[in-house]
Amino acid sequence: MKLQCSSFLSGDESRKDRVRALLDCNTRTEAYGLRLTPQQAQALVAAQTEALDHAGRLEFGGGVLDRMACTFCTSSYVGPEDWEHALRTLTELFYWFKNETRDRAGDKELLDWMRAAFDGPCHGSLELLAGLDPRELLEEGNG
Amino acid sequence: MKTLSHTRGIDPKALRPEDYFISLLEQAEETGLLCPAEAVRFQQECLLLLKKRCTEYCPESSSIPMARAQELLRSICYTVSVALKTAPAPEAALAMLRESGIQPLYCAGMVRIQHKIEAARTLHRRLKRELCALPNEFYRPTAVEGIEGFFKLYRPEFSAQETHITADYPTLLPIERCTGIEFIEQYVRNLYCENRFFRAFPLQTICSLLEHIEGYRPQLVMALCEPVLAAALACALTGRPIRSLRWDHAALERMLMSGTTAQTEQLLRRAWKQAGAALELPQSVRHYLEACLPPLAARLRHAAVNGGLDGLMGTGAA
Repeated sequence: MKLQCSSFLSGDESRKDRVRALLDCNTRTEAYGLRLTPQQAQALVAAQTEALDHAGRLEFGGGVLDRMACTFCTSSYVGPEDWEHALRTLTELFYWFKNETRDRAGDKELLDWMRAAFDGPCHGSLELLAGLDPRELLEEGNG
Repeated sequence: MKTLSHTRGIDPKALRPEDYFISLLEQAEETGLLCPAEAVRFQQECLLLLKKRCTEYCPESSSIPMARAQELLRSICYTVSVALKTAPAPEAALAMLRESGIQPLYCAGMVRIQHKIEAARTLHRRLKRELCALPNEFYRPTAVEGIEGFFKLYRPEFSAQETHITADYPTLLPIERCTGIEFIEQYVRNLYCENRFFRAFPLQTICSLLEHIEGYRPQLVMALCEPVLAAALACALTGRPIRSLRWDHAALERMLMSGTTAQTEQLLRRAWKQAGAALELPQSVRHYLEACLPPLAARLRHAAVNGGLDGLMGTGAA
């Protein structure tokens, strides 16, 4: 029995749920001037599926996009003009980091680390964030 | 209208014991006993169960590497297979699948796996207590530490199909197309039967037999049961005391070279009736060793014809 990477996401219902969850985040993020349109939310969900495929991962839980939005919306380094792009890139990085840490860090732990690194040493640069070694996160946990 | 070719029964030989559930679905679709909608239903039920398992496996994550998800799915299929194998025939297994669905079969499979683990543990404890101190570097480490390693590592809820150990020491009857607890339960049973057989002889007698086998050394990976069983049968065939493991080598060679392999097998079966009774072995041990006779007959005859009996069982003059 073979699994398609997006077996849990390929259904229309599953996609609609994720789009809805992401749009529901607008109630929190718009306080910071950040809002996604339904088209942007759909595009992000499609991009998430692609990111999972590239990373060789399967999503089974409630999804990470909405939590990503809620985690990063308070950062002073993101603005409405690049909100969609930031979420797209952060999602790709998230799955890459999950693989690099060999899943030893939970979702929340990794999201918190990404946020702290983004605002801290990366000064809002997604390129610098992409260059960090997420295994430091595990060392911090052990230290 | 369905033609006969679309509704023929499932050939049990076409089913893969190591992948029973999947091969049952494949064969059922091929023979027209399962329609595509049913196949989709079972796949969906498996994926639902996989979702639950993924959540339990990594509770703090919402995604998992695909390779790991595939392993979890294999574990689910293995566990369902264990339940399905209790059915007397493939069609009955298919009926069980239709009536119960995946989740109940999975639960039944897990219960059965736990029973198998307990039974294997119990037999293994007995094996450890009674293990013969044979002069072979693989025997004890595999029979004791190797199998203990399996029980420490085995997590049927996530990797029921994993055997974890290499089981370096070979039993005389090989275990094929079996993994996980199904392999281990059979392996422990085989080891137990062979060890019980060894205990029918003085240890020094077995050691002496092995020392006189051409090329034997304790570092060899070999099924020690083969020369011992061959020697016991040789004693029965040549009218020597069975527990002595000393036989008339020339007479044995003549007997083995005179008939076909099938006739040799018949000869060995008659000899085994005598030897098994003389050694006062339990029925289960006798049945196991009797199952070893066909391949042993072929090897003995081949060895006799090619002058290799010394390498298989020594010269009988230990």
